[in-house]
Parts: sequence; C-alpha cells; structure tokens
Amino acid sequence: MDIIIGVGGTGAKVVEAAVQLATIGIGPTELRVGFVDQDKSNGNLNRAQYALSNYIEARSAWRGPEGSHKLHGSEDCPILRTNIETIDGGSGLWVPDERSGSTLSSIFGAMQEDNYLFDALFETGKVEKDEEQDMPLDEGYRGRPHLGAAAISARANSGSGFWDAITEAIKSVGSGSRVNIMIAGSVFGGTGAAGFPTLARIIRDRLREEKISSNVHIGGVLMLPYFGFPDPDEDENQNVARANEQLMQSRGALRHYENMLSSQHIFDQLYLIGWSPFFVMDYHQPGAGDQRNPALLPEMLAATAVHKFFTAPAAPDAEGVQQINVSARANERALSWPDIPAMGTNGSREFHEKFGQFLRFAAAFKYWKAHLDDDSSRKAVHKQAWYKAQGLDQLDWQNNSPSENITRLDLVVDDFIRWCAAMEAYARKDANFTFNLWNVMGMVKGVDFKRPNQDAEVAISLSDDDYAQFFESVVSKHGTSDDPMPDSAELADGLTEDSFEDEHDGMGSMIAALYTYSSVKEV
Amino acid sequence: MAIYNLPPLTNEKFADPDVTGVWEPSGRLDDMADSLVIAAEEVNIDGLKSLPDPWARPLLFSQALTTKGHVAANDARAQWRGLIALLALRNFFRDSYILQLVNYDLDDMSLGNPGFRRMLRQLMPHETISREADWSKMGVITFQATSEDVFATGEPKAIGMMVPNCLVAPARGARKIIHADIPWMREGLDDPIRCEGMSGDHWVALHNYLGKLFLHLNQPGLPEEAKFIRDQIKAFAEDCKARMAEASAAPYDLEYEAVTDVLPNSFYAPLNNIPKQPDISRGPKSQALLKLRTREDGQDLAKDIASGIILIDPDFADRTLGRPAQDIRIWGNYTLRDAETPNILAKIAEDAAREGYAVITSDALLTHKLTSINNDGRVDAHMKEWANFLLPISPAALLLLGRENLNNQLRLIDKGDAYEVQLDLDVIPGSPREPAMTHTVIRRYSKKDGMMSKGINEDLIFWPNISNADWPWTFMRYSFNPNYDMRPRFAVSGKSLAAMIEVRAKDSHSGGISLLRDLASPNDLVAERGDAFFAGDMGEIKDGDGNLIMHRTAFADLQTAVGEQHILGKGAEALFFAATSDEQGEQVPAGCILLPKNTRPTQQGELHVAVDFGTTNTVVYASAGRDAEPVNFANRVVKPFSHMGAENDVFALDCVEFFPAHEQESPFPTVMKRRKFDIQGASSVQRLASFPYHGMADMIFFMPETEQKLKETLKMMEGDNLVFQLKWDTDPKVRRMVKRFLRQLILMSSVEAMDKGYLPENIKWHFSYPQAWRNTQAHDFKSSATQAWKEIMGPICGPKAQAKDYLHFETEGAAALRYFINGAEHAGQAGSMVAMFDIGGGTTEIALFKDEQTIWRSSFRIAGGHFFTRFLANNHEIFDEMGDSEFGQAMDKYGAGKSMQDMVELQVSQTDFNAKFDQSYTMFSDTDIGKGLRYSAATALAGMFYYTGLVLRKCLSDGVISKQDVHDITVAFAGRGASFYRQLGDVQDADSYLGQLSAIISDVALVSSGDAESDNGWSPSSARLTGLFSSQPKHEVANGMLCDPLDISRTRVTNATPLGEYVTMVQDGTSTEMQSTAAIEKIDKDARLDMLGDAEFLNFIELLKLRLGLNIAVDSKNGVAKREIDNKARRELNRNLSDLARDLDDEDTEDTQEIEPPFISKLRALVEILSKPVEERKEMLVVKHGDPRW
Repeated sequence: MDIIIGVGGTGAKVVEAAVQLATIGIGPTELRVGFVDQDKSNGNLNRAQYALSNYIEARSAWRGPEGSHKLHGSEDCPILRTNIETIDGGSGLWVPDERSGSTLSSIFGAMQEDNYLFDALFETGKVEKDEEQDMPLDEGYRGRPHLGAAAISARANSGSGFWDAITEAIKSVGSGSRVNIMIAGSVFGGTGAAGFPTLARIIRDRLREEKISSNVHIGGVLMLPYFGFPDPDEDENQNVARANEQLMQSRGALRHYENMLSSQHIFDQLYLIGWSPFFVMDYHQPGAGDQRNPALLPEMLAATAVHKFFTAPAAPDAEGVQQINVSARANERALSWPDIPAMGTNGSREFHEKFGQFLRFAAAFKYWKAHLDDDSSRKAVHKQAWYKAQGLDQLDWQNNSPSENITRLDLVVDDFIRWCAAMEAYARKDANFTFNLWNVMGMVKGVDFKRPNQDAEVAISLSDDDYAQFFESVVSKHGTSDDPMPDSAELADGLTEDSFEDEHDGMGSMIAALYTYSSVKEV
Repeated sequence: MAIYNLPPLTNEKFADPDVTGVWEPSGRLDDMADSLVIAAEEVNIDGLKSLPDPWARPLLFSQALTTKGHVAANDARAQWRGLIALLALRNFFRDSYILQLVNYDLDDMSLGNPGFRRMLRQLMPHETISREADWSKMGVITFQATSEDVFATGEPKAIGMMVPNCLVAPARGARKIIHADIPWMREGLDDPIRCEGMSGDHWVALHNYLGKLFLHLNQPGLPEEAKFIRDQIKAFAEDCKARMAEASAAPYDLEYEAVTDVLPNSFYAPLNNIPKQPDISRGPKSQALLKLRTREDGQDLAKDIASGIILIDPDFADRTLGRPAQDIRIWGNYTLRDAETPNILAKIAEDAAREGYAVITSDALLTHKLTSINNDGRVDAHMKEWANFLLPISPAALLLLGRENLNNQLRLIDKGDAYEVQLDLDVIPGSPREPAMTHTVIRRYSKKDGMMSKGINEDLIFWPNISNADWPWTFMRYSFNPNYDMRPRFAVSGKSLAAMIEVRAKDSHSGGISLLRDLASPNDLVAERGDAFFAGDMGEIKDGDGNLIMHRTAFADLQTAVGEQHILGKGAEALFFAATSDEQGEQVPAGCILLPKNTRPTQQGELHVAVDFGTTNTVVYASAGRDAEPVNFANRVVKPFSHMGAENDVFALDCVEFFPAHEQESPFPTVMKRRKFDIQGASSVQRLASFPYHGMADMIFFMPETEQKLKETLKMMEGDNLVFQLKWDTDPKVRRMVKRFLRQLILMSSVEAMDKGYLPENIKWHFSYPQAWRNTQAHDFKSSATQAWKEIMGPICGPKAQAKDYLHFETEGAAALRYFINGAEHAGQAGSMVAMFDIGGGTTEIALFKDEQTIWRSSFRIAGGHFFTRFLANNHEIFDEMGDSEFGQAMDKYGAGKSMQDMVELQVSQTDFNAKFDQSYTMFSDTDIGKGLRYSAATALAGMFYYTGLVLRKCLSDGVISKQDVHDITVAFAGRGASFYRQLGDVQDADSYLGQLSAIISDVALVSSGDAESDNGWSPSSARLTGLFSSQPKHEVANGMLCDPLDISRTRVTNATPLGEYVTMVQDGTSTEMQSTAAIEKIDKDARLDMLGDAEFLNFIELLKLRLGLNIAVDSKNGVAKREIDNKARRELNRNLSDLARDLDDEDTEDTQEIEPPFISKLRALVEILSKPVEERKEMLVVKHGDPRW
C-alpha cells in the first residue's frame, strides 16, 4: 500500500501534483491520500482536494465497477490508472484540532508542574508576534513549526480516523504486504514545516510501538523555498527580504534535519526540491482560503519523487538507510524534458511520453468532445468514418449516455491543463527562462499574475485550426533530434482506421483511441 | 551549466551536480544549509522559528553555537553567555536575583501535564554532548528578581534550561526578562562581554567559572560535539580575560560553593558549583574609599565612627582610575555603574552603613551654590583666591581634609561665565603596592545662577587664638541680623565631627553614618533639622566619656538680632554658614570659612601659676622655675573675617562680654560682670549657671579700652551688672561667682601658658588667701578654686587627676613675705629682722621674719580700701585735683553709696592711676582733702604699726627676738595700699612723715622694756628702721608664691595674736580679764565680751600726736566717734565669737584668723570715720595737725 500525506499547503500541492500525474497514468496502482492541515480552509488544500475529488470521480466513472463506458487496463491507456482513495475513506484531511479558537494551551490543558518547561519552550506574550501558547490556531501555525510540531504530536495521540487508518496500514505489513508512506511538506511556513518531520517521527514511533522494523518505508518530499511573494503593502525590496527570511528558516531547518537524521532513523528516502531562481508571485495571502497558490514546476518534480519512491522502493538491504535525494537540470535558465528527474531508467523520456501524450490527448479531447456534446453536434458528424469506426453510432445516447463520463473526464483534463498552464505561465514569466516542456497557454484564457489565486480558465472547445496547432505544439520534443510528433491528421486517421472496442467499453474505446493517437511517437 | 532543483546555493560546500534529470543522493544537509545564498548577515535568534520541533529552543541554540556562520550565532551566543553568567555570578548578585532549578523527568507521568510530557518524550531530540545526560531528564532554570520587600519580589520566570546538547539554553522569553541591576540584563538577557557595568571581580569569577566548565567538557570520551560547546566556553573565557585586563583585575583564589539544587544529571554539576563572593579582606571594601584625615596618633580621624567613606563620583572612573565605571567596585559586588541607579545607590548606602561605611556622592562634598562674600574685607585664613568666598564644602569634607589641606586642595578657577571648583581627595590604594591616588571632584558654578552673594555677620568672634590639639575650650560668639546676614550654622573641627558621629554611632553604625550623611547634604540643613542640639535656647552634645563636644547658648533671639555662644570642646577649624536661597527662599548650606590655625607646639616642663585673688584687684603670675613674671592676658579674640568695622566700639564692648578684646595686664579688678540675655521667654536662662562652662552667667569684668569706657562702665554699674567685693561677700551666689571668676582665670591663664608652649596639664596652680579670713571663708575659697580647676582642667587632665596634686594654697602674708625675703628683686636688701606690711585693698598682711624664720604672721581687714579708696570715693573732688574731672563729674552723676567706692576702685585699678596720682599729689597735699587723705592713711598705717609693736613686745618678752632685733627692723611695704606711703618720705628718714610713723613700731615694742622714756607714758625709741618698698605694688603675693621653693609659710614661732586691747570675757557667769598682749586664740568660743578697754587705743592716739603731730580728738563732738568705734569693736568681737561657735565642726587647719583683735576693729572704725567726706567727718570728731612732739 502506498500512502501519500500532504502536510500543510505546500504538501497539499505536492499531493495535487501526484494526483495530476496519476491522471496521466503515472502513479502506483493503489494510493491512499491524506492531508494534514490545521487550516482546513487553506486554498492549496482545497484545490488539491478538489483535484483529488475530480480524479476519484473520473476514475470511478471510467474505471469503476458501475457503468457502460469503461477504460480497462493500463498499458495502452494508463490514464486514471491509479486507484486513489482517501486514507480515511472520508475527506482524507486530518485537522489536528478542529475546535474553533483552539490554542496550544487549550490542546494540552493545565500544565501543573510543567508550567516552567512550557514557558521555556513556548513563548507567551501580550502582543501577537510574541504569542505562542495562546495563539489561535484556526489559521494554522503561522510560521511557527515548533508550535505545530507540539500540537500535531499531541493531537496525533488522541485518536482519529486518519491515524487509525495509518495504524491499520502499518499493522497490515504483518500479513506480508509492504507499506510505503510518503509525506510531503515544506521546510518553510507553519503547518507543513511542523508536520513533515513530526508525522514521520510519530509514525516511526508507532512502528517501534508495534515492533515493526521492515516493510514499512517512510519517504519524504521536503519542499525548500522555490517561490517568493511580497505582502500587498511591501515593495520589491521587502519581497527579497521575505525570500531571505524563508531561506534563513530553511537553513535552520536543514541543519536541524541533518542533526536529527544523523541521530535518528526517520526517513528511508527523502527528496529535497526547491528552485532557483525563485518563481515570483505578486501577492501573498497568509492562511485561510485565499492561500491558493498557483502550481509551480517544483511540485511536478516532487510528484516524480513521489512516484519514484512508490515505484522504486529501497532494496531490502537498505532497510534503515536514509537516502536523501536531490535533482538537477542542465541549465539554470532553461528546463527541458531531459531535466525532469527520472523515475527509473530512461525515466525522463518515459515521463515525457506520458506527459506529452496526455497533453496532446487533452487538446484532442477538447476538440473531439465538442462533436459529441449534444444531439445536433453528433448529428453533424454521425455519418463520418471516425464516428462509426469508434462505434459511437452504437451508443444509446438517450438511455446510456456517456455524457457523465465525458464530463468527469473533462474536469480532470481541465484540472490538468490548468495545472500545466500555471506551471508554464510562471515559468515563462521570467523572460530569461526558457521553458521547453509544453505550451498550453492557447488552451486557457490566460493566467492573471495579479490574481494568482484564480485558476486559469480552460477553453471549452478548440477550433479546427487551434486544435491542429495545439496538438502539434502543446508539448515539446524530448530531444531536439527526436522525430516530429504525429499531427492531428494522423490522429484523425487513426480514429478512422483503428478501434479499441474490444479492450474498452462504450465511450472508453473512443477515449482510448484519442489517447493512443495522441502519442508523441508514431503509433 | 547544470543546477540543482534547489534554492540558490553557493558551491563552496555543496558541489555542482554531476548529472541532471535524475534523483541522486544529496550531500550533507548542513552543507546545503550553509550553501544557501542568504543576503542577511545576522538575525536575532528569537526571530528564527524554522525548527519543526517542540524542543526547537535548545536545538536552535545548539545549532547557532556550533555552526560556523550561523545567521543567529551572535545573538545566540549573547543569550547563552548571559545565562551562564547568571549561573556563575549568583553569589555576586544575590540582592538582585535568585535562580532556581526545576527538574523534569519526562518519564514520570504522575506529575505535570501527561500529554505535554508524552509529546516532548515522543519528539525528544537525541543530540547530546554527554554520554550520561539525555533529554528525558532536564531542568528549567527560573529567574526571580529579588527585593528587600518580599511583596515587591518578582515572580519566577523560566529563563533557561539545562539541556544535553549545549549545557544550557536560554528559554523562549529570556530576552524579555529585564533587570536594571544586572548589567547584562538591562535590555534583556545579553552577552556580559558587550555590556557595561561589570566589575573586575565579576570578570575574574566568571573567567574562573568558565575554566571549570571547560575542563568539564574536556574530559576524554565525550562526544565529538562537545568540542563545539567547549570552544564556545573557551572563547567566552578569553573574552572575560580581556575584560579583566581592561579592569586591571588580577586573578585571585576563589572559593566555590555547590548550590544545593538537585540536578537532572551529574553532567550539569559544574554549572551549580559557583564562585563565592571574594573575601572582602582581600582588599579595600571599595575602590572608591577615601582616605580619612589622620589623627595625631596616626589613626584615621574617624576610625572609630566610620570604617570608611566611599565616594560616588562618575568622574572617578575615567579621570582617576582610568577604568570604566563598571570596573570600579563601590561596595561588595556593586560597581560605580550600579551606583548610577538611584535605588541601587540607596541600597549600597544602606548595606555599607551596616558595616560602618558611609557612602556619599561628590555632590555631597560641595554645596549647591557658590557663595561670595559681599562685605568689605577678607577671610584671613583663606588663600588669596578664596578670600572673598565661602569654601563651598559640606561639613563632611572636614573628615577628609583639614584646614591646611583644604587651602591646598580646594581650588577656585575662573572660567569666564562660571567658576570651577576642584577638590582633591586622597583615595586609599587598592593594595599597599599601588601608588596613592588623588581624585579631583569638580563642580562648576555658573556666575549667572550658580552663585549667591551674601554678607558675613560682623559680630563674629572666636576665642582663643591659640591652643593645642586637645584643648577643650574653644568659644564662639556671634550675632546676626536674620533679615540680612548669613546665619552661622556651627563651627566644627574634624575631631568634633568625628566625636559627634561617634556619639550617634554608639548603638549602631547607622546612626553615625546617618549623621555623617546629613552633614553632607549639599542643599538642605539636614544636620540641624530635628536635632535637639539646635532646638530652643541651648543644647549640648557630649562624647562617650562625658567630655563636651559642643555647647550652644542663645543669648539673643530678637527680630533684628539673633545671638549665640558656642563652646567647642573639640576645637574648630571651620565655621559653616547657611544662607537664604534666592530661588527657594529657605535656608540652605552656603559653605564655610576656615578659622585661623591656632595650635602651638608644646614643650616639656612644668609651669607654676599663682593667683592672688585680691579684694579689689587680682594678680596672676607664672614661673617655670626661673623668675616669676606677671601673666598678662593677651587679646586672644579671633575675628576670622576682617572688615572695616572690626575695631569699632561696639565690637570691643561685645568682646568684653565674652573675653577681653585687648591685652589685660595684672593686676586687674576683682569684678564680675553679669551677662545679659535677650531671650524671649527666659526660662532657659535660669538654667545657665548650672552648666559648668565659662561665659554662661557672668564673667570677669575687663574694663573696655574705648574712649567711652568710663561711661560704658558706669552704665553697667547703673544696671547692677557689675559685682564688686567678691572676696569678702559671704552670699552663696557671690561665692559661686568667685568660683566662676577663678575658673575664667584658670581658663585664660592656661591659654597664656599654651602660648608659651606649656601643656595645661603641666600647670601647678597656686592660690593665696588672706589670713584674716575665717576658717570657713578659706575653706569656701579653696573649694571654689578646686571646683573651678576641675571644671576647666578635668577634661584635660582626665578623671583620675587629683586636684591636690595640682593646687596649692597659702596665705597672702606668707607669700608676700617670701617675695621680700627670697624674691630676686629684694635679695640682700632686707635685714635679719623684717616687718612686712602687704597693704592690699581689703586686708593688710603683716609678717615678722627673723633669720629665715617667720616668727609671726597675720592679716587684718584694714587696707587701702579703707583709708584710700573710700576716702577718694567720699571726697571725689580729689579727682578734680588730679585733673580727672571727667571721672569727678561721672561720680557726681552716677556715684552713690557703695557704688561710688566701686567706681573709685576701678579707677584706682587703672594702670596709669599711680603715675597720675603721684604727679598731682603734691599739688593738693596741703588742701583739706589732701590732708584728710594723709590723716586717714597715716592713721591706718600707724595703727598697724602700733599693733605690730605690741606683737614684738610679746616676742621680746617671750625671748623670740632680742632688743637688737627691734632696733634693726626692715619695714617692708607691699601692696597697692602701700603705694600712697611713698608720698610720705622714707622709713629710715627719722624726720620724714613715714620715718616718724615707722618708729611707732619700736616705740610700742620697747616701751615695757624700760628703753622708752615716758612722756605721758611714752618715750621715743632709737631704733634704726629701714624701709623697703616693693617696686610693683600688689604683685608681691602672686610673685611671692612662686619665689622660692622652700615652704616657709607655716614656719611660725609665735602663733599668738595679741588682742591689742584689754578685755573682760564672760563665760558661764565667770569673768576673765585678758591683757592687751594676750592672744586672741586664748578666748574660748563660748565666751562673750563683757568689757572692752581703751587704754591701748588711747595710747595709740597719743603716739600719733607725739610722732606725727596728728591730734585726733576721739572724745570731741560729744564722743560720737568714740562710741561708734567702741560699738563696732564690740560687735565685731561678739560676731566673731558667734561665728566661731557655729563653725565648730570645721577643722581648724586653715591659716586663718577667726577673731579680729579688738584693737584692729577700733582702728578700722576710726579710719572709716577719717575717710568720710571731710565735712561729714568734722561733724564726728576734731582732727588737728601740729608739729610732732618728737
């Protein structure tokens, strides 16, 4: 069993990235997803949960036991392949203390003889900036990871579905299964920084309690600073200052991890991801629902790390060895597909193929879907070869319509495009940076840098010309010497000539065909 | 170029990637951390909140302390060092804080908050620099500010932890704990190295403590990580060492004590083994200890009353010691920097006072304002620059500097718009090896608003102008107009200040220190306010031995004049003033003027001082074994401030009231002057006489040397302020006055002796008294003299001194006789047989001396006062004859009765009277007045000669002398009363008036021997008498007492005192006849006179006629004169007998005359009649003068 837990807002974004990769077919077979955030209204969390929900719904529609329009297998069409569920069967979110106005003091209750120790470790003060013991935690730990660590640890011991599920999963290794737990969080900020090592330590502690010493692997994706944002009222210099502050916090945390990991076995694999130069955002909104940051490339890299951890677990003889991993790209001012850290041998090419294929599929899906949306549209094309070739004329559009499935797929496709659009837009925002991965900007209604908390609006459909253009250009080649990717005409030919009716059900055949002929390589 | 997908990194520690597009193992995270490109150089550790760990606080400190280049390294080190310093210096700051250790055993879930403990336990770090200590057992150090007031003591607050990774780590809110008294916590926990206010001792102790910590972490087997903390401790210690050097602090042997707290683990034990405060005996209590003045015995002046005086002066640091204030130990662990905080300064002062140290600020040594003197003139004892200024010092400064040093060490520098005053003070070196230091207290007085201009009251005097160091009788008198003048506060010396403080400190140091500090108040009269000494009309302070420190008497308290007399038992060096502050309108200290130095070197040796307490005049002589000399009382009045009006009459008269302001020669009138007081509500005045001090109730009257002296004197007499006849008055009040008279003589004579270099305690005192006194009178006199001596000399000679070892008494006659026999003046001039007549104002001492033996001596109350002064008083026209018409007019105006004779006595006592009289006598000797005076005087002397003849006759009959002796008598004249007789010729000139007179002696002596042929019973003798006049009449007794060490006064062959007249005594009904040559000593005290004969008296009258041609018809005028003469003689005899019976219990050991011979009584009565105004006398008897028959 593979488990990913996103801690805090950045952790949630890593989970979201992992979900996006699962959408395109990169991910384990089974994945349990959890979130930890004291601020349950966190925008990043909400969006990750939204993406997860869309994924689960879409997968349920296309790969679930119900319905007539199914995708089967994962070889030729791996999209939505991973069975993702929330860890607790519910929202998957653990809020350490959901009580309104909760504080560290209220979490622990009366200190009795421990009062001085409490004071020695946690500050109390009359002004907000000094307050730790009685600071309201409704909006998270407000950049105080030590406070979050204490709160999280305390609440973890108080029982919850989240932790019960983890405990059950751990215990399941007794039956010979293997459990991989990936924790994602940031080194900066509050909740993620606090929860990232804390969760790992708690789990490691429980392993000790359960006397489990193997088959449970704990991985970590630790996000180092990769973006910066100013306060609304602060000038550019302040922005730099804030970035420096993040770096200083990171430096301390890294040293702490070094010390901690050198004396304790916590992570089996740890992946560190950051970025240089920082992606620059134009605002910062601490806490609450508006803390909804656009997706950025390091999160995609984090997702590859997640996938690597799940798919390439440590060898048995590496039990107890903590492996810390980093990645690099060839050029500070450019990013190309070979720079994407491999998930395995020749991994970047594989990643490029799946990523590129899905992007081309997305363009095709947006185009072809428009022909199927309603009776009049279908009527216009129902006599065309491809329509018949894909058996669409055989479908009962009235009583067993694939519309719901298409809608579900459309949502995850849109999510993915938006996710890619955001990464692309902020990568391209730096005029000195060459982004050589994809170009989805033609499919979205632009990205408003002034309102980065607003997701890009994905085009409902594409015109013939746009489709033709996008299909060919939406993804860059892995290598400059690679053969040109098949164009939209080839896809159309494929749809006319080939059908996957035997392998998929209903509309699943058309979707699989679209996906297959969206490949970056000749089919 | 390949780049990590990481935040910006330098490649110093974190090498560039080798491969791209893959996940590869990372380098060390701390290297990555170090390589992060961060613009900020340093941050506050409290702002770092990145550690995702509840133990973040100690972990962060460990990280910052052990990581090179950590952004919060400096701040972390600062707090960490501050915490260690708190632990190390607990003993040094025990008055400021308490640290307590609260232990936590996280395995124990029965205590505290189990959830909290479980959380901490679950996330417990593993970092440690100890093999023994782990995080489950740690301690929290709490900090509690302390205060004397337990209710003001702060709550304990967590300030640090004992943790395994870095020994100690400051608590989360440590920086917010502020304590003004702890140098490194004034703005929150900080690095002591970068704070000011620590002392050298602090650095030494901290350095030593760190050394022990270093050794503790330098043990083999400790984890590698211990090295980093050890290095931090070493660096801290090195910094401390540098501060030690700055503070010139040398290492010393420190004692340690283990705090009794239970530790979480023995690993922390060195933290709780802390240095004790250094032994205070290691050096001076304070590095700002001022050197007190040195007493003559080499001890500090205030040794017994203050262990030391500590100066608080910010300038002390840089200017004198060249060290910062925090490196100067003021008291215990307090530094000069600490003392800048008022509440700490108060605490220092309080602590120091408990051990007898006084703490004063530099402000307290100098007055708030500089006072210039706006009188014309100058302060004599001041240096030129200070001549017209009060020295702006507080009284406390006199404990540090004496008069001479003040003149040298107090400077006044004109800085244009201000005066700068510099006061150099000696500082006790920290060790004998260190050189002596001088600290200069500097104060600037703005000429615009930092000064006062005031006048010194001109009526301000001190007495005496010389003394020795232990002289206990210094007097100050002043009066001032409270509307204009500055007001004298008190005059003190370092010695008197010390004594006062000692009195206050009798029960506890603090009382003395409190006074010392009161005396150092620069802008308020704290020392006087509320002190009983200054309240009311009088006050007194005595030292522990009962000796006077200061006595104060107010003699005037009027709206326009306030006057006081102070007696300063411990001398006076400076007089302090108060002045009305222009701003405050209240009296504030104005500084002082120095008084002239008045000490004289003393020489070894004994001095004999003789006092002839005469009826009208008193004479004092002194001798150190050589020739005796009269003691002249110099003008010893000191006027410390010279001004133009110094010599005016008012001043001179004022001084008379106190001590003579001009030289007084012996003899001087035996007159006392009553003191006048102008006190509203005179109840206190009645107590004045009960104080055994001079100048309270009355004092010797020295006639003022002013043009108006007669007028002024008469005014005094008119106001009954002068008292005469002290010698003979038996009124107890007058007897006490006699004591005070003698006391003043002793006082003044002692000063004169000191001026000659003699110590008062080496003076032997000689007093004479007339043999004519009765036993009780002599006894009273001796008691008075003894008491007077004790009152003056008691404080000098000490309580064990016996008066009898210092005082000697003898009769005036004996003394005068010695003057003639052994005195240098008449050595060899007298024959073997001498008859001496010392004729004073009230008595005549008669002595007969033969072959170095007194064969007879007695004295009688008939002298100059009877025949001369009284005559002049009754016939004051004679002054007109002498050309002294002013006196004559004054007599007309003021003279009446007895006072007239007193006035004449004063006039006669004037030094120039004899010369005036001698010059003018011949001019009026043949006038009625001139004749009258001669008759009176001649009769008196003739009577005494007649009586002496009777004595000699008895001696002849007793075989004590021979006729030849009678034929070869030297008649010696002494006393002022004898002076007149110089006008009457020479003894040896048989044709002269005096020659005739003197022959009466031998006429009478030889009559019964058959040598004299009777003409009417008498025949002239043929004796060859010679005369001898004293060159200094009246000096003879005083001089005689010192003439010869041989005691001849009591070597008498004949005790018998002839009656001089035939009497019949009755006792128990039995009559007893006694011949004129019978001794009066034979009369029983219980007998009474029955019949008084007149044969001898009439024979005497007859002899006057034969020898002088003086015919006194005592029976004329119906015998009025004769009856009066007889009655007086009878009354006198009976009164003598009554007194004798009443004084039965008195031991008759005195050389006194209990019963006056009736002949002498008659003679005095006759002389009194002859001394009456001529016209009045003529009414009583007829006196004719013809040629002598012989």
